Amino acid sequence: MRKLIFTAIFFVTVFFVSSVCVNAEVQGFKITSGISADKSSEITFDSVKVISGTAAKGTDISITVYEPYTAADGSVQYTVLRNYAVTVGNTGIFSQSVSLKEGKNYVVVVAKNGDSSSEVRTTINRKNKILQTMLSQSIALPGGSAW
Amino acid sequence: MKSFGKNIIIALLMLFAIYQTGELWFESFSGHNFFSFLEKSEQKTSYISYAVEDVFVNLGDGKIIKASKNENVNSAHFLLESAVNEISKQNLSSYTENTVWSEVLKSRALIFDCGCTLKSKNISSLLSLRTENTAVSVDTDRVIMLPSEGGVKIMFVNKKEKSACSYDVKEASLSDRCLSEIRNISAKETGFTYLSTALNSFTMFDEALFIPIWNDEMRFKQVEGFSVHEDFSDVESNADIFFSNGNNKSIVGISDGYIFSDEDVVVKCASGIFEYSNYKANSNESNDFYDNFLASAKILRNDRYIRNDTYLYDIREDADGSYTFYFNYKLNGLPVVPSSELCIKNDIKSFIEVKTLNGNVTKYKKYAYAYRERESNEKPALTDYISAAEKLYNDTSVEKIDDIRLSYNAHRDRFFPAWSINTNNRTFFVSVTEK
Repeated sequence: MRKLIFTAIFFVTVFFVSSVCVNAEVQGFKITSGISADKSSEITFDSVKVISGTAAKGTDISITVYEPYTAADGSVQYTVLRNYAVTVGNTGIFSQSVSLKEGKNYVVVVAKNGDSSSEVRTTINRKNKILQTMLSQSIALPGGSAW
Repeated sequence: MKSFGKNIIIALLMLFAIYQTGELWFESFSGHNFFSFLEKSEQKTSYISYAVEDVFVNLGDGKIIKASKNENVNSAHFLLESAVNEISKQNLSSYTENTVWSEVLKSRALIFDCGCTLKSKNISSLLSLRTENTAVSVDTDRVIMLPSEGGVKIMFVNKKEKSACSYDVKEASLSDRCLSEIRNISAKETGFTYLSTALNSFTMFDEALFIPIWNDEMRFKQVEGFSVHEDFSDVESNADIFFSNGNNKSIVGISDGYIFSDEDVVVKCASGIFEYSNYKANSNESNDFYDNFLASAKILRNDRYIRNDTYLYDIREDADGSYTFYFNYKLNGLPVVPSSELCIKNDIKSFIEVKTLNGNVTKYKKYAYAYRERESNEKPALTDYISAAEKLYNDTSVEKIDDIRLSYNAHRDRFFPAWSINTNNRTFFVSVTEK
């Protein structure tokens, strides 16, 4: 039984390692607005984010929004909230509006073109609009000038 | 002491009455009333709004919104006016620079887009930046206010040439007002969010564009055109605006309308076109751009039969020194443009044309229709800017899109919004509500 389990673990590991090695990055795939690919988490007051970007023609883009929750054993689990799919056309641009629930939204954007695949993950923490109104009356919004 | 005060007041009123009599005696009678001197002081602020088509707010985090509520638009115009006054007051020198959009749009800013390019001498005249020091040195189609610590940078930008004539206005209160305005508009506006083609590196589009984006539930109401003249009394009342004494005018009925006239003025209203011509020579007035633009804007303001907002779409300058200002209507902050069929049929280039010389309106022509939303008919938005561009890519050999904007193309009595796409000096319309 133990041999069987080790064998299974070995093959699964080999499968994942090989898939990572074989899969190249999707040509020209880049998220240009809506979410920041550089940050692992961000805060917003918007109920909808429009995620835009560029990729080669024919690339399939799938966007999945998950709700993270803590399971009874203390581990973080994810429930799928919404799924979106678009295929990039002649312009090489894609855009998809994504609804967010209040609280934490774990967003995964996957681009696939043939054997190539790229992925961007981020957590968007949607805050209450009332908080924005309160904050805007007392502090400056981000984006300071430096001329 | 009481009677002394009264005497002073009576003396002031007498002086004011003599002044107004003089004004009426030596100048044209039209438009004069007790409060006309008050109107003059507010003219510059309010008339700037006729030159600006859109006010955008860059929130500095990649998000751009448009001010569409009148209160927001007006307060932004007023702020621009204050900033420009500071340039004159401080006698600030300008400097020219290249416009790198990806840099400019990193910061919070108020952005004023003109419907057409204003020549440097004309925008200098319009904003009273008349000295050699303060004059705007580039032909301008966008003005940007960038607040910073201790002041505001004002950029007069030529989008096509990517050049700017900039001023650094050191005035902390102006910076505070600008930041407050940005926060205020951001909190109150609920319309579309706009995407910057520069910030997104969308190289197939011109990099100075802001494109509206929306969520999947977006719906648009159908728009309908209707005549602003319900009956003859409306036509006559509209015509009376142009006569110093409406009782002395003659009226002639023609097959499809009426002609009103006196010795100087002719007003013709036929087949939906309202046309005013003034044959009175006023050669002794100034022919400054400011005076001419003011005359055109004033006629729009006085014509209460214009039901929609308007924006300056184009300007023509003729060899005789006359200016023709072309205006189009706006609805919900979006431009309403006449279709080519409508233009050919009615011999118009835009909904309103105002010809001026020496600060006087010599000809005024308008398509006497207005546009409103129909509550009963709405459709989902099915074609976003990418789908619209894709359609164009599939149908034509487009390489670069110079402009893409959401607008109403008035091609029949009822219509939905469309993407107006400009490429290589050709304009294509792609329906928003059809796949």
